Amino acid sequence: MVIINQVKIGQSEAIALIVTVLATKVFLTYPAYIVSYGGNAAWQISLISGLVTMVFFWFILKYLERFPDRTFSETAEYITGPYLGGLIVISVLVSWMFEMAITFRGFGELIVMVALPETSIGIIMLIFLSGAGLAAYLGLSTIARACYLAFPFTLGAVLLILVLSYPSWNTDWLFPILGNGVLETIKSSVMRSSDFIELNFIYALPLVFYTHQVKNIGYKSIIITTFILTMIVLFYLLTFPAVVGEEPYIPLYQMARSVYLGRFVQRIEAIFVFFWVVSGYLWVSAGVYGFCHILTQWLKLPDYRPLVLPTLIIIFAVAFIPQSLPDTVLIAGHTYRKFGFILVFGLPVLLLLLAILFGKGGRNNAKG
Amino acid sequence: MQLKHWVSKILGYDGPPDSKDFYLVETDEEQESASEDAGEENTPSSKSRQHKIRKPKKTGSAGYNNDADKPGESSDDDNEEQSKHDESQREIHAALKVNKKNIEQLFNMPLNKDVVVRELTLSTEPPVQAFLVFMEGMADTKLINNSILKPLMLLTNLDPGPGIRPDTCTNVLQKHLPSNQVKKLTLFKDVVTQVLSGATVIFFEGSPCAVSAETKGFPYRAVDTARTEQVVQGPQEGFVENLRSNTSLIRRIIRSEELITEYLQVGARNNNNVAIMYLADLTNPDLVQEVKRRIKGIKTDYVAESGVLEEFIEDHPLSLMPQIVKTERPDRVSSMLLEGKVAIIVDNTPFVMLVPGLLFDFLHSPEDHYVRFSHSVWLRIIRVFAVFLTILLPAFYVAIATFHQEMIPTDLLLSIASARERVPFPTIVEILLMELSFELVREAGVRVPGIIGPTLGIVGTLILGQAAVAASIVSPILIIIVAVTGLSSYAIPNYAASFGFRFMRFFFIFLATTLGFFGISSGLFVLLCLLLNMKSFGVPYLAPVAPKTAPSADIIFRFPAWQQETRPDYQQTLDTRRQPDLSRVWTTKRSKQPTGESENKDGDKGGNDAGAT
Repeated sequence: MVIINQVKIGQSEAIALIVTVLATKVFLTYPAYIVSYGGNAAWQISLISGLVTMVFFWFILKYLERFPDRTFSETAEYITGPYLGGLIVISVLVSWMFEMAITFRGFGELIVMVALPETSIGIIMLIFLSGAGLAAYLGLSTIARACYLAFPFTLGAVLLILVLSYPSWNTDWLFPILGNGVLETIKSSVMRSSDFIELNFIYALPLVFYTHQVKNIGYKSIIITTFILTMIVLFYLLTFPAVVGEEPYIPLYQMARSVYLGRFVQRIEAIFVFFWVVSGYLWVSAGVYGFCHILTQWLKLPDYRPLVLPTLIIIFAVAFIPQSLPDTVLIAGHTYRKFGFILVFGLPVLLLLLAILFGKGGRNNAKG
Repeated sequence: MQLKHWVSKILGYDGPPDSKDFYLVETDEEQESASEDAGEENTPSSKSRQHKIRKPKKTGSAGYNNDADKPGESSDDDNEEQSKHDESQREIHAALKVNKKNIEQLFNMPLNKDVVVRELTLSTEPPVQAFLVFMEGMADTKLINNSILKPLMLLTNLDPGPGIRPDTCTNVLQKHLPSNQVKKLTLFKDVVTQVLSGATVIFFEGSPCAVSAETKGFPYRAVDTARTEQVVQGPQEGFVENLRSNTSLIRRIIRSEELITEYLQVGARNNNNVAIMYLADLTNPDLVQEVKRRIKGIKTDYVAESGVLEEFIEDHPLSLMPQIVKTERPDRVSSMLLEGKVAIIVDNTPFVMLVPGLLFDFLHSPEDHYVRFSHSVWLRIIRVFAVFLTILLPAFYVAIATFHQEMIPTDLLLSIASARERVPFPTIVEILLMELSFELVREAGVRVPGIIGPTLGIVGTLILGQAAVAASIVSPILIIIVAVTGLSSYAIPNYAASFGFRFMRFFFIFLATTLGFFGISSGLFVLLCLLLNMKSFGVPYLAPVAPKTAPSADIIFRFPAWQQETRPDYQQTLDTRRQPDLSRVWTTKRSKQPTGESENKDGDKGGNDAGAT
């Protein structure tokens, strides 16, 4: 059976893709959450969590270097055997699905709040899912190229919000500079490395990247994302004091609303809906593609596309499990975003340790 | 049975579709070095599917599926057609009578009055019987009289050699036929082709071959100014319907022995000539092969014009956006040939096609290269702006007026609200009324006779708009929106692309009406994905932006001519450099004072060498 669509994406597009999926969360509750953890030192959490993620990525890199030409499911099954390996793949798929459904719901709620308060969320999410499904169906290179094209515009729009909010800036709100204390900041930073869990794209779909570029892609993506997240949180803190800043559900939108440059330029937030929506589409479509791709490789199917529609239906159903927006935020923030990193970054570390223990991979990596 | 088939088709999965995709791939070395460049996706998402052709129930001699007919089922007509087909495949006979009978049968004589058969006797010793056949109206009769009949009937006796010989044809075409293009034919099939294209074919008694002499002489339009792609500065010539005139217009600009013209025929019944032009030492051979493969792979009876051929060979025929550049300007064709594209010229069409056609090609005008660099940058920015206005302006207005009123500053909101106060329709009805009126004016303006055209434009734009506002059917601001949208659509230089963008705006208006900005952004996302997924002759449609290839000096911004060192990377040309890094050698001390012609030649050579390195 011929396995088709062995896609490879180049470095620039891969970085744009990874940064887009990592940084899109700033449009949701990310800044407010970080502020609720770190208070005045919230920006340090973003910065340190990026550094912590780099350490985790070093392990991922070591793991990938050991198994350069195997898919994730092949590696898992090779190290731990078919049953345990299957279980590992299932755990990745379940967490992937959970993350996707919750974030997707978050985007649906965001659109209702920001743009269409009187429209049913079901219709919005249905349209949202159709668009994302189409992109996933068209393939990873389409999604990655769309990320590459959309990224500068989205970044420009975010920077514009940050810069235009300068009349509201007050440096007093950054002090006391250490916030809730150094230990608390570091502890939160390690936990908030869960904000980078989308990096599992790199080890779960290793073959879509050129092997010699993975290192660059990973580190550059983490550095760019950390920079973006830190800057946003920093400017957010400059605009709103920590006590106020932890409240809004959509902090960046709140920031855009605070822009006031004379009578004519005062309500520009609706314009940013474009960038938020497109980022959301890219995030979900990359997720759907990744999910189908992993499943396809695990089940050794020739094509991922027949799986797109069932995946969309499952996501749609799971996304409606939380009763309301606060529920969604709580589930995402208090459980998954706190401990997600243990599962997501722990898995390659565990596989790496087992591989070393069993003497698999590296020189013995030849497929049998 | 049918139901079962459809159920299994909808619910089942037959594996990847049977398709043949073409990619203009880079070499391994290039892929290694250009790390940014994405590998081509090997999904069969491209729409160049192999369509199954149903067997025609009845095919004539010109049909392409004769051997598919089952014996015993064909009628008398079919038999006749079949015998004619066999006739055309037959070799020329030595007996003149047999040949004449065959010709009469092939050309349906005496029913077909256009075909002329003229019998003659060569004044050799002994005399040789002959006849010639040509198509009245396609051949130049004066030329036949002077260059064929006169030499053969009067001057052949100057040659003392024997008349009837097996090599009469060679003898005649070497010694007696003062025509610049002659051919020896042995098959009736070739005779038919030659006669239909305007040549005169001469048969001789005792000779199993015929001689075709070039006597084309049909009426055609003289070279005129380009009508749809006008420029302020630059050449004004446009293509005409005659294929040969068009190739010569291009050849006059590119005087290179590497400029190749190949001829193909499409349309089983109209046998239309299609010329393919490319630069042999520049264009990627795979691209040329692919163009030929697609054109040769067309099975149809009638290809009238380049637009029809375009539909047959493009990758995504259902897309709103064109994937083949069509132009009536020889200078544009020449510049694109030098970029590594392939030109396809269809006979009887004043528009030449160029492949691959990418999105940014449709935003370029030849004038961009003729005006000053800074002006051209501004022209390009205006055009990109025009594209966005064409697609999005009416949709934006609808979205803001329906969903996002808070976006409008209060003063402006009040003035819009007061203007709309007396309008009884919702915004969507208003805008559809005006947009449809605009489309009506546009279409009517094209169809009405030339003299009334401008009057109709004025009536449509001024009086209709003014009256609509006065009658409180639409608000004045809407007239501005529709007018600006209309203007923007005409600022897009390519007719097909402009049409595509104009058509898209209706989708966006509906999306904006139902879902506001969310609808528009959803539409933009889907449009972006579809465009990214498209390919034109193996090249991604949004190249060189996505996928990112080596930087190009002519995408949205055109760099000055002396900075355009390389050709577009995505064309995968055999020669990637246009000029050396230092193209203005005179700016350096190395440049010498030219002393004469020989000096100039040296300079040229030096430049070329540097370019090759």
